[in-house]
Amino acid sequence: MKKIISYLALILLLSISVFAVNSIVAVQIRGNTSTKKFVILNLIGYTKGMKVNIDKLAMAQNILMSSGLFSNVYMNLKATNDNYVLIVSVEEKNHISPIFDLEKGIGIRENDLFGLGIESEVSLRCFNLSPFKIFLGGYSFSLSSQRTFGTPFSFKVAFSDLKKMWWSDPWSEFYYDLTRTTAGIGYMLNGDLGFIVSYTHEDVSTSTTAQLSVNAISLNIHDYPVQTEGKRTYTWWNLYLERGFDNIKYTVGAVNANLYHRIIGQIYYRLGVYGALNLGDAPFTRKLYFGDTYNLKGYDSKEFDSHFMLLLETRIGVPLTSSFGISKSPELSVYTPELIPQLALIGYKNITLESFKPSIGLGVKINTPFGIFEPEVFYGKELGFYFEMK
Amino acid sequence: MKRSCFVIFVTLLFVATFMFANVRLVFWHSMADYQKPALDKLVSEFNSTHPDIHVVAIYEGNYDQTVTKLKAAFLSKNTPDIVQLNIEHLRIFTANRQLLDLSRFISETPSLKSDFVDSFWKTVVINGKPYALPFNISCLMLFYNKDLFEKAGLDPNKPPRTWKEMEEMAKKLTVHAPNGRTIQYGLFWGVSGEDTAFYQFEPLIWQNGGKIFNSSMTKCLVDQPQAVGALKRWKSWFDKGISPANMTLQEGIQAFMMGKIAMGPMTSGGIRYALDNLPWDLGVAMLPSHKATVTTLGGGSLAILSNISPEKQEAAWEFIKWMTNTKNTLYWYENTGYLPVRKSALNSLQIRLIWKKFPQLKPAVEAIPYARPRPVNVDIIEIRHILFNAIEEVRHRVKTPEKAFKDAAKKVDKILELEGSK
Repeated sequence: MKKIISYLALILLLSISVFAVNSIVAVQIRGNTSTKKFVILNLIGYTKGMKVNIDKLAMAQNILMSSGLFSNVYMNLKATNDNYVLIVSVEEKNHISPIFDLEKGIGIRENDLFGLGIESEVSLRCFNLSPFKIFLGGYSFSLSSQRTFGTPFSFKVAFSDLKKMWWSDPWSEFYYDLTRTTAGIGYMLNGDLGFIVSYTHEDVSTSTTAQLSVNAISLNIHDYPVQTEGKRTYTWWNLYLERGFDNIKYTVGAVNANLYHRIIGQIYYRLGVYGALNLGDAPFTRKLYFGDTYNLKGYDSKEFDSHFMLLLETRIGVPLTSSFGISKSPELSVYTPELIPQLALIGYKNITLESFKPSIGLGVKINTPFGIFEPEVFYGKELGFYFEMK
Repeated sequence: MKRSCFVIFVTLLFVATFMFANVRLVFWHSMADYQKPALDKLVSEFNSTHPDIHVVAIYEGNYDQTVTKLKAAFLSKNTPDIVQLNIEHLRIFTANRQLLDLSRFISETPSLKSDFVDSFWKTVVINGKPYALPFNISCLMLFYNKDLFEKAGLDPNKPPRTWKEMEEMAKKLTVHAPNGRTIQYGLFWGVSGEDTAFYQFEPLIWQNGGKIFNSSMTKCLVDQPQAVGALKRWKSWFDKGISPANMTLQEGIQAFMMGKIAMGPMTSGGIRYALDNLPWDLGVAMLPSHKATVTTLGGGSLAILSNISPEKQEAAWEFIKWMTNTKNTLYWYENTGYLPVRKSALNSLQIRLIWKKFPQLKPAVEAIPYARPRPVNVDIIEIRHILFNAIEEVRHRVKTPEKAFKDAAKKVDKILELEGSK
């Protein structure tokens, strides 16, 4: 009985928050070999003398984990007089990963530049895709951070010089040369919700038009959950609006909403809705298209030139282990074959059967030490092969 | 040519890893499936933070299989250095002094012993000497399907607290098809017959105020009224039709997973697996009580073999101490559901952050004061199978509860008598 009472006292101690009235007077950061201490302190949102609040500390831990910098975060409190020292032990992730993307090319990504938590990307593309009669050339680089130095402020700076040439119908021997500069700043309103306002300048030369100079301002509002571990269902979305000004006036907008639901075991479906709107005379480099590597697959990227487009996509995935057994945990999932039906609605006036464009795809997500490699094959109007490295 | 060079390079790298590690330790464990990645991550982290020691973790089957393999390994003189043993199996090997007495190491770090949860620590102490460190300790909890509770008009946040409440709720949760066939059962109190046999039945005897053995473990007491009463009550759940009588434990777990059974006892070591795999909302609660509030403590420990060199003993001690430190026991808890073994972990900030993410992990910690270790004995595996067979005879209506436990007690007493005469 005495034992039970003493245990109950311990549990009561745990339950009633012994930390509730005390303050955190210092923070000790352990295990950071690259990321600077002040970045971690900012991510935690530490201010001297802050009260011990489990909800806030849980959010801080989630923000640290979702920063992409750490694979594990452990927090503890050390009592000192009437206050506490917060001890944060982190395990850093590998900060360098390769880029393997048809649009960006081949390159390298470092997500903790100089230990400041800034993501930098450099990529070069020089693909002569003879079977598809496309040449993709150029380079791009960017610097960005969802939480600059760990603060809620976001920024993005990007430059690219891209060339693309088709020599098949309907774009026979059409090419463009595009230089694009983007700069933006934003703010994370809470753990999940944030926005970024950007300015973009483009100079475009094509084989059929004189050089265009495009100036645009855009707003991107996004809501991504910081903690998805153990959740059966969660959603995420983003809204994009862009307005061209100066020489060329136009408005484009897109909304993307997703729902993930784990059905049973690790088997899941992901439902995605993507809508795009093109108003005014948007240049082709700023227009929102369906097809190619984005959205509706199995169709030519420039086939649809519509003001309004809507896409529904479902991904049904069956995670498998390295020995191709059914996976029982995310950690054991190595191969994830996915069945990906898509249905697009192109245009909104005079909707006929022709307005609906179906496509069916098969893909496999492969977990590698460098990231997730994702080859896909789609059949819509034609057969298309796609791959991505995330 | 290029391929050959690559293969040679990788081989050299692999060999170099072992060469630079002064001590190589072989660690046998019983953690399969979803527990293995968490264990492998800990071992990998140990290896990267301890360049002088390299631990090779090998899965050797379930607890009973590990016992068999370890016995064979001693005969063939090909033993591992560290072994994960079920806490009830430690005596099998301490009897022949095959496990290292850890007293010397413990005395070097006096604060260590006092930081282990007292009831967990007792499970590794035999004749006053510690032979292992508690590692993956679990207790039996009531798992229930919150979705089915809601569907049946029950409050999903109010699980049953007593046997009576459990029976009443199970009745409401049992659903029949128009033709009278039962399509959903309210309860399945399945009992394991293989590894950890009889595990789920033990708390029923204790909750009914009974005992399985006398305090000196020289007499089996399952033929006493309290134990027989528990068996009668268990049988009544089949007779009333609130629990399926014709299902094995594995079949019952499958049916529970598919939402065809509403509740049943399961180990806390499976909470994370359940959360990661079940297609419905899981509730976890303390086992319903009757005359007493009790649950069973089970699980494994990390032991060092006594026949290894002193240098290896030091390295192995470093490893098992590291595996059970506050940070790692919490990592293990979060990723499996096995209980944190350190008091400092129970009182930590991190455990509260874990509860924020996985509130279902909290009731198991709250159950610690009521968790009773399983009775242990050199011949415990054989004894448990006798007791399990007895309840199976009742389930299959071969014997009455009185006769089944009376016969079983006789058989067990014979084994205990033989043991005493050795």
